[in-house]
Amino acid sequence: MINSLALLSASCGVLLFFHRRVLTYLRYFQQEEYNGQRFLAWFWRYRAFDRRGSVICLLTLLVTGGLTVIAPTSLTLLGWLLGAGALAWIAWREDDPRKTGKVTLKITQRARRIWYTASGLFLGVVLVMTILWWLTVSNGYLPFYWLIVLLLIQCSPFLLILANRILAPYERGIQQSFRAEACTVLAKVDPTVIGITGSYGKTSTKTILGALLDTVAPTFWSPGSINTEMGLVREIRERLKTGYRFAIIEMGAYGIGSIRKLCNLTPPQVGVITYVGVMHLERFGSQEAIYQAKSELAQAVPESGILVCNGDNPGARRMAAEYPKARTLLYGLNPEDAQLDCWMSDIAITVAGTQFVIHWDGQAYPGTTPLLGQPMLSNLLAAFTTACALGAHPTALIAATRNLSPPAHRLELRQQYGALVIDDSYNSNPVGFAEALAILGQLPGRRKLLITPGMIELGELQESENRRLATLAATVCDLVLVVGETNAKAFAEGLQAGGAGADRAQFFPHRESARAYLEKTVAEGDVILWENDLPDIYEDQPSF
Amino acid sequence: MEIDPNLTQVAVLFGGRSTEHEVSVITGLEIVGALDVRKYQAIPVYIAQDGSWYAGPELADKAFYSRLPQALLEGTQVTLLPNAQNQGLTILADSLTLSERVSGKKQSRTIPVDIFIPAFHGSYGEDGCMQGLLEMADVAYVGSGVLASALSMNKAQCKQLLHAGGVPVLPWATVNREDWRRDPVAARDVVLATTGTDQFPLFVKPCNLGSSIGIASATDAAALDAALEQVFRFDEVALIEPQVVAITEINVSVMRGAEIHPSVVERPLSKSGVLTYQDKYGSSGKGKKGQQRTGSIADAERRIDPKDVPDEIKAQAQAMAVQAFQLIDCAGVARIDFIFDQTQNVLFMNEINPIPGSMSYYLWENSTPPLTYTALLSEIIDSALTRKAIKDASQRDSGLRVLFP
Repeated sequence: MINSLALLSASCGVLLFFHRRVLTYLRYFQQEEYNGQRFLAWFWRYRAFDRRGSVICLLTLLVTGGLTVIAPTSLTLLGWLLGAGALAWIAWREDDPRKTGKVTLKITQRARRIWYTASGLFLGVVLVMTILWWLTVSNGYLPFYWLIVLLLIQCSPFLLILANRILAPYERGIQQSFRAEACTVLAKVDPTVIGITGSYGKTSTKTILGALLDTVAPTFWSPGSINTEMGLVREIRERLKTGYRFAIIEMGAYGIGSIRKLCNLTPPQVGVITYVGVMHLERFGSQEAIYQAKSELAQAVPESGILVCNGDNPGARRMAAEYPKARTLLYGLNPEDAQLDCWMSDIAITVAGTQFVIHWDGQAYPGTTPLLGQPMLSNLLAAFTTACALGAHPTALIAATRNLSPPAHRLELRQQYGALVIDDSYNSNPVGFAEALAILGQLPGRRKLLITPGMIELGELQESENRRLATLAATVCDLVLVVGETNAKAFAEGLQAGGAGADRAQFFPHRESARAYLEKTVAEGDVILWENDLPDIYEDQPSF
Repeated sequence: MEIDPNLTQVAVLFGGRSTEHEVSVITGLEIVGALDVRKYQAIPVYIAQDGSWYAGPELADKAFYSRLPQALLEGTQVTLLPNAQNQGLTILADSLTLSERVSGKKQSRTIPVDIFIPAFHGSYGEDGCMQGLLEMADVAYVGSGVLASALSMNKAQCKQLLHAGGVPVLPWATVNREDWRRDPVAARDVVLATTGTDQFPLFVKPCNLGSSIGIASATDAAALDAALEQVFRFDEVALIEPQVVAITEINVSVMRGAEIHPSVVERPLSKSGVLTYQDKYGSSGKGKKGQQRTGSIADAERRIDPKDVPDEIKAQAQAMAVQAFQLIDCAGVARIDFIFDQTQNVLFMNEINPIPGSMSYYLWENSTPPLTYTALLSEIIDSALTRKAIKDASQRDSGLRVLFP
C-alpha cells in the first residue's frame, strides 16, 4: 500500500513536471520550425539539459534510499511525497513560455497536437514503467525508481521530436490542404506580390513598405516577422481579403531552397534584397551558400519584374548584376555613388527625428522621419525605391514617411521627465550602441545622459567591447549611469580611459535605483539615451 | 423581461460600429437611468463592435461592459428588421426557449417597442445610417432624421449649407483621397491657393468622423502633406481650415420640443487649446476631486455660462445655434460648437452634433428655466411621437394601384 502510494505520488509529480517543462522545450522546437536536427543543435549548443528536476530526483533517491534502510516506511513515504511535491512545485513555478520571453510560444493547432502527443507518450511510458516497477522491484530497491524518473525527464525534449515524427504524415496532409487553400485565395485576390529577403532589415523594410504602399492602394503584409511557409500560409488564409492590391511577403532563408519554396507559394513580381551578410553562417556553411539561398528570390522574379537591391552591400549589388530584370534598382546611403538609382543626402538628426533629402529620378525630395539610425534609413530607402517603382507619387511617400513610427524600443524618440529620451532599450550590440551614441551626440541638448547595463552575450569580447564603447560614451556623454554588476568594471575602466571621471559616471546595483537617481537629476533640455535596458535581455539563455 | 402595458416601451440604442463606441455606451446607460419610470419602460439595446444587436435588462448594468466579450453570451440577440410592420425588435432564432427547442417549432418573437432613442456617436449611428433603418422599419425615433444626421456628420457639406444660409463658418478647403493620390503636389497647391487656407497654421480633419481622432495641425507644407496622408487613413475626404490662434470654444445645445430653443452657453476647458479625445472623454474629473472617472462627457471640465465671454457673443451664439439647427432641420437635442476668435472678436460655427454626448443634459440642467434630464427626455420623446403620428396621418399611398389596378 505504502509502495503504491509512493509510486503514485512520484508518477503524478513527474507527469505534472513534464506537462509544463515540455512547453518550454516546445517553444524552442517551434522557433526551430519543428526541425528535429536544428532543435537538437540548439539543445547541445545551450546544454539545455534539465537540471532542477534531476537534482530533485537525485536528492529524493538519496533521502528515500537512506530512509528505506534506517527508518519506518511511513517516513520514507514522506520523502517520496516531498520529492513529488518538489517536482510539482518546479512545474508550477516554471515561466509560461506562452506569455513570457521575446519570442513566445504560439499555441497553434500543430503545437497543441505535438504537445498532447508528447504528453500522451510520456504518460504511457510513465504508466508502463511504474507498473513494471511496482510488480517486479522489491522494497529495498524501490527508491531507484527516481533514477527512472530522472531518465524520463532528461528524455522529454526527444519525446517532442518523436511526437513530431509520429504526426508527420498527418501534418503533411493538413499542410498540403492549407497550402492549396492559400494558393486559391492568393489567385483570387491576385495582388502584386513583393518579396523581401536579407540578413538584416527585412521585417523593418516590410513594415515601412507596407505603410508607404498603403498610401497607394490597400496593402497586405504579415505582422511581426512571420517569414516561413506555414506562417505565411496561415496569414494568407486568414487575412488576405479581396481588395488588397499589394502583398508584401517577408521571406526568411533557412537554407538552400527555403526561399524557392516561398516563391512557389507566392510568386513575386517584385524582389527586394536588403542585405546579404554573414548572419546564420553556421547554418549555411559558407558565405556563398548564403548568397545562393537569397538569390533564389532574385531568380524567381520574372524578367518583366522589378528587382530592388541595397547598393551599399556588395552581395546585394552582385545579385542585381547577376539577375537583371526589366527594372533593376539600387538604393544606398552613399550619395557619392553615381550608380545608385535612389539615394539619401543631407542627413541631419533633430528632435523631430531625421531630416534628409531623397534623390529619385532626377528630383530631390526633402523630408523628415521619426526613424533614426543608418540601418533604419537604409530600410526606408529600400521601401521608398520599391514604392516609387510601383507607381507611388514620391511626394505622397515623403508625407507618409513623416507619419511612420519606429519599432518599439528601437531608437524611439519620446519626451519624458521634460527631457528628450532616445529609447534603444530593446537590445544592444556594438554596432547599434555606437550608432545610438552618435545620434545622442548629434542631438542638441543641455546635457547628454546615458543609462545602460552594457552589452551582454558577446562571449570573450564582452569585456573589451564594453570597455571600448564606454570610452566612446565618455566622449559624448555628460553623465553615464551604469546599471548592474555585469559590465560595471569594464565601464569604469572604459570611462576612465575616455576621460570621464567619477563626477561623470554613476554606478547602480539595479534599474530601479538608477531610474530613481535619473528622475532626481534630470532637467528640462537634457537628452537621455536608454541603451539595452529591458529586463528580458538575459532571457535568451534558457535555464532548466 | 416583464412588459408593463401601461408604460411606453422605449428602446435605447447604443454602442455601435464607430470609434466612439464606448462613449455611446455611457450616453445610452445614462438615458436608461434617466427615463421617467412613471411613463416609460426602458429596453437597453446594445450594438456590439462587430455590429450584432443585444437586448435585455442585464445590459443596463455598467459592469456588463467590463466583462466583454464573454458577457455577450448572456445577452439576447435581437435585430431590427427593415419590414414596415414589425414595430419592435425581433429576437433572433438562435436563442430559443426550452419549449421551442423541445417542440422544434421556432417562432419569430418580438420585443414590442413604441419608440427608439438612438444614442450613438459617430459613424453608422449618428450619421443617418441608423436613422435610415428606423425609417425603413417605420418606427418612431427620437432625434434628427436621415438627411439632417448625414449633413451634420459631413463637415464640408454642413459648412456649405450653413454658409449659404448665412451662418458664419471658418473658410475651408477639401481634398479628396483620389486627387491626392493622383497628384499630391497639385492637390496641396489647390488648398494653399484657396482664400482662407492660404496661410499656416492650418487644421486638417477627416471630413466624416465625429470625434477628434485623426485631426492634425500643420505649420508648413511638409506637415500639411503628412497631415493629409494621416487623414486619408481614416477618411476619403480631408477638410482643411485655418487654425484660429486666440481661440475660445463655446458650445450651445438646441432642443426641439414643443418649440425650438437654445440652452445656456458652455465653455469646454482643455489644456492644449484643441479638445483631444482624452480631454473630451478620458482622464477628466480633475475639477471634481475625488470623483471616479466616469467617461461621461457630462463630467468633462467646463465652465457653464462663462464670465470671460461677452454677453452679446453668448446671445449671438444662441441665435446662430437655433438658426443652424433649423437650416439643417434637426430634431431632438443637438449641440452646436462655436469658435470665438478673440483677436477679431468674431464667432464662427464649427460643427453640429445631432446626438451630443450625454444629450447635453448638463447644459439644460443649468438653463433658465432649468430642465432635468428626465424632463428633457420626456419632452423629446413626446415631440418624436407627435412627429411620427403626423407622418403616419399624411397621405402617402396616392399613386398606388394605378399601373396594376
